[in-house]
Amino acid sequence: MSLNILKISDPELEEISRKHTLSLTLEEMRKVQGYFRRKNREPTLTELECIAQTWSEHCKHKTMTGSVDYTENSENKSYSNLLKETVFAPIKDMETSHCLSIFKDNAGIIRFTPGWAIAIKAETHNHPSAIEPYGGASTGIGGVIRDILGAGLGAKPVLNIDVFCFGLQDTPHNQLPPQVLHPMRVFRGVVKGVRDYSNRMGIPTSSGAIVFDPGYTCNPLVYCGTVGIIPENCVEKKVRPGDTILLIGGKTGRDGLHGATFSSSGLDNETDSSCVQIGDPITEKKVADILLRLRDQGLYNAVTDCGAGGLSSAVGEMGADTGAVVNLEKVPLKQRKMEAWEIFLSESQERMVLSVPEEKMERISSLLESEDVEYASIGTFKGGSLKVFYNGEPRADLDMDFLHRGYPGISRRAVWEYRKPETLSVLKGDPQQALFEILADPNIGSREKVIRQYDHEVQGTAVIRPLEGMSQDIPQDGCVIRPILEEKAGIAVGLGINPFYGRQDPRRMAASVTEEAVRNAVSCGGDIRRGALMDNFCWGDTSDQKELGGLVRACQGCGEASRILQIPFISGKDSLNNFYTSSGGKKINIPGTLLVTCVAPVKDVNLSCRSSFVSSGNFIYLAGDTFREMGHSALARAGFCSGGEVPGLREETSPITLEFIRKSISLGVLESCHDLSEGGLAIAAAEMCFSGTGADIDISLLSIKDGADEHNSWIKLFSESNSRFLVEVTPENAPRVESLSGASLTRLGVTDDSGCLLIRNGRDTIIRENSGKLKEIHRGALKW
Amino acid sequence: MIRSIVEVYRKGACPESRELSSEVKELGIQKEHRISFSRIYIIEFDENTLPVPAEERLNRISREILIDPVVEEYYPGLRDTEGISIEVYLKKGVLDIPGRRAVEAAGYASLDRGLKKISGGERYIITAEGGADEETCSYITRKLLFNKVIQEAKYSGSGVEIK
Repeated sequence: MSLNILKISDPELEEISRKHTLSLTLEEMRKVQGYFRRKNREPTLTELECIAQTWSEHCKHKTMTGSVDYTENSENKSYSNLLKETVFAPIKDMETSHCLSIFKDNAGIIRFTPGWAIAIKAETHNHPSAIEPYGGASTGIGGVIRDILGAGLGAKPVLNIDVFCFGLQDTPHNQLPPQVLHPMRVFRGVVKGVRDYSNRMGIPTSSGAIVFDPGYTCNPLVYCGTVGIIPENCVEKKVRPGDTILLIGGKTGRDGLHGATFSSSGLDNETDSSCVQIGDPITEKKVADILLRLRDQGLYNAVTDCGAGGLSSAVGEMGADTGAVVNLEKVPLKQRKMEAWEIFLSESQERMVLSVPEEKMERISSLLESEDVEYASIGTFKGGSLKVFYNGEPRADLDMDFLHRGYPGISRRAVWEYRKPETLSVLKGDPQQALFEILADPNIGSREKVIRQYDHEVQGTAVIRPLEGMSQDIPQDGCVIRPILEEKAGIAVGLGINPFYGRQDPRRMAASVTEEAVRNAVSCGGDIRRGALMDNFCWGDTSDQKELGGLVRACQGCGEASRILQIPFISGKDSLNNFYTSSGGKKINIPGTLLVTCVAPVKDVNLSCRSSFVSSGNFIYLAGDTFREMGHSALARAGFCSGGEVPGLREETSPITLEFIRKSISLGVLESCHDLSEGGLAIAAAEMCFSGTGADIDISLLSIKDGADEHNSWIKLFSESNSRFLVEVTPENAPRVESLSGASLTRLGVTDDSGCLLIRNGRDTIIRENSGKLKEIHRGALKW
Repeated sequence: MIRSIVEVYRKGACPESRELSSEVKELGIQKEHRISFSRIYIIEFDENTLPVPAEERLNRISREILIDPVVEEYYPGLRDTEGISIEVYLKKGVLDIPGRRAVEAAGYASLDRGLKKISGGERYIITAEGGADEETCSYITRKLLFNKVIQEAKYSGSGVEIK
C-alpha cells in the first residue's frame, strides 16, 4: 500500500502523521517527503512506519541529543547536543579504562573480575503500565532483560532492579480523571507484573525504590533495570555481510503495535489501544538459556533484542553498516492475515535477532530445536539498504544512511528562572513525633510488603539482600550479589531518586540523586573508583520551554556530579512527554524525575557492609558535614518545616567522604554503615536500631557548617545534606578509622544493649523510643 | 466440537480473595462485600480425534495440568454458589499466556490429542450481608476486577456484559 505524499501540502503531511500515529513532526514529514521526491516514488506504509519508529523520541532521543537554546535568569547558553555537553561532558577528562561500553550497544559495560564484565541497563515502561499495570510492568522487565541478553554477544541477567512512582495510596476514587486507574490498582498490578516475570525468569529482584506523589496519579512511572555479567571477550559484536537474519523466541502478533511512537507521546482520556503487550516469561527463559549456550559455542556474530519498533528497529540497527534483505512471510505469526507493516513493526515480546554465519545455521537450528525454541531465518544482512519483501513483493527499500542519519534533528528553546527559596522556618513541635510521622511516610517506610513478593535468593548469589538482620526485615542502602559463585568478587548496586528536590531546583536534585546512588553503592562495599552510573530521566511535556528548562538543569546536575565524583555515566534512557491531557484540554505534567543507578564491583564480598548496628559498645560516628538543607525534605513533607534550600553537592568534601567510606569498608574496619538521605540523621539512626541494638547519640557534639540558630536540633536531626554516613566502629578500630579520615568525622555516641534509640542534646533527651516500636511504625507505612 | 469449562479454586483461604475484599472497602462502599476469586479454563475438544471420552480427558487435564494439587481443587463446570458471579476473559487477540501454557503442558503430558484449545479466565463471586446488588457489583467490577483495555466481563448465567 502506497501513500501519496509527494505533492501534498504541509497540513496534509501533518494529517498523514496523525492518522497513522506516526508521531512525526511537520519538519520530519517534510524531510521524508523530500527523500521520496528524490527517489521519484511514493512511500509504502511499511516505509513510513519504519521511519517513524526509527526517528521516534523513544528510539532516537531527539530532545536529549538535539540542540537547545537555554535561558537562565536572562543568561543564554546554546547546546548543540544537550546530553553530550552535559551528562557526558566530564568523561573526556576522566579515567575510564574500566569502561568497556559507554552509551553504545544495548547496555553500559564495565570490567568486573579478570575475564568478566558487568552490563547494566534500565528502561521505563510508563505508558503501557498506566493503562494495563500488570502487562505493562511485566513486559517492561521482560524488555530490559532482553536488552542485557542483547548486550555485546549476550550477557547473563543476574539482578533485576525495579523503581516505581505512583499517585498517593489514599487518593479518593471520585477525584480520578476518567479512564485513570486508581494508584493502588496500578501499584498492585505493577508489583505483581514485575514479580511474576522476574521470579519466573529466575532472576533475583534485589534493588528498588518506590515514590508516592500526587503528580504521578495520571502518569505512573515504572523503571525496570537489569544487571548482567558477560565474558570480556564477548563485549564486541559485528554483523558480517552475508549473515543470516535469524529470529528466535516468541511468535509475532499485533500486540504492542506503535509502542515506540506511543511511548513518545502523551496520554489522554481516550487512550485505549493495542499498545499493550502481554509478557510470557517461560518463552523468554528458554530464549535466555539457549542464547548463552549459542554464545559460548561462538555460533553467531551479533545479537540484539526486538524491543520498541520490533523487527524494523532490530534489523534496521543491526544492518546499519551492511544493509538487510527481509522476507516477512517467513516470520512465525500469531495471527493470520497480518499486514506487512504490522509484522515489521510488531512489538511482540520475547524475540531476539541473531546474525548467523551460513555455515553455523545447521548447528544453531539443531540446538534451538532441542530446547523447543521457535526460530526462523527471515533474511540476510547484505545490499547496503533496508529491503523488505512480503511474499516476494517489495514493501520497503530505504537507504540506511537516510534511515539512521537522515532525520532533521530538533532545536528547542528552554527557559529556567531560579527563584530563591523562602527562608527556612521550623514549626514548634516534638521531634519524636516528627520521627514517628516520617517513619510512617509511605515514601520512607519499609518496602517489605513488596520486597517479600520478589525472589531475591534465586541463583544463590545474594550477599546483601534488600532486607537483612535476624528477621530479614531491616532495609539496606544497596544490595550486593556474588554472581560467579567460585569468586569472592561481587557487584554492588545503589539507587538515587528524589523528585521532591526538583520542585525547587532540578540541578540540585540531579546532583543529589547521583550522589545518593553512589552513597548507596559505596556504603555496602562497592569500589566506586571502578564504578559507573546510569541515568533514567522521566519528564513532562518538553515542548513547553519551562519543562525543558528543568530538564536542562537536571542534565547539568548529572554532569556536575559525574565530574565531582569522577564516575562516568555509561548508559541511560529517557522517557519524555509524561503528561496527561484532561478532557478539558489541561496538561498535567509529572514531576521531573531522575533515577540514577550506580553499579560498582566489590573486591571481596566478605568485606561488604550492612546498614544496621551489629553489637553494643561500639562507637557511632557521623562522616560528612551537616548544613541547613531542609528544603522539600521529609520533615517539610510531614509539615514540620517550610522553606529552605534543597541539598547541594560539595566539590571540596563529597569525594573525600565517599573515599573514606570506601577505604574503611575495604579494610574491614566498619561494623555497619548507613547513608543519610531522606529524614536525615534521625531516620538513619532509627533504621540502624532496627536490629535491636540500641544507640545513645548526643547531637550537641555535632556542628552545623553554615551557622547555628534556634532550629539547631531540628537541623541536626532532619537535615538532608548529601555525602553523610552514620558508621559503627569498634573501640579497637576507632583510632585507625579516625586516622584514615580526611573527611569530617564526629563521634556522636555509642551502641548499647538498651534496645532503644536515645537521641539527646547534651543532657536534654530529644528522642527516646524502643527500636521495636520504631520498626513497627516503619513496617506499617506502606499499604498493600 | 465439545466445549467444557473448569473452575480452579483454593482449598483454604485465598489470598487474592482476601486482598480484593479489603480493596472494596477502599472504594468507599459502606456495606461489607466479600469477593471470592477462582480461575476458570474453557477447554475445547475435537470429538472426532479425541481418543477417550471428553469427561475423562477433562478430568486428567484438570488434575495434572491446571491445578496445584497441594493448594487447589477443580470443579468441572462452574460451582453453584451464593452471590453474584462475574466472569472475566481476555479480549480476542490478546495473548492468553495461561491458556497457551496449558496447551503446551498438555502436549508434554501426551494429553493433546483431540485438544483444540484452552482459554484462561477469572471468576469472581461477590457476596454481601443481605445480598449484593448488581449496580454495586458492576461498580466493583469496573473499578477492581477487570481492565477494559484487554479484558471483557460478564455476569455468569445471564451473560450480560459489564461495560
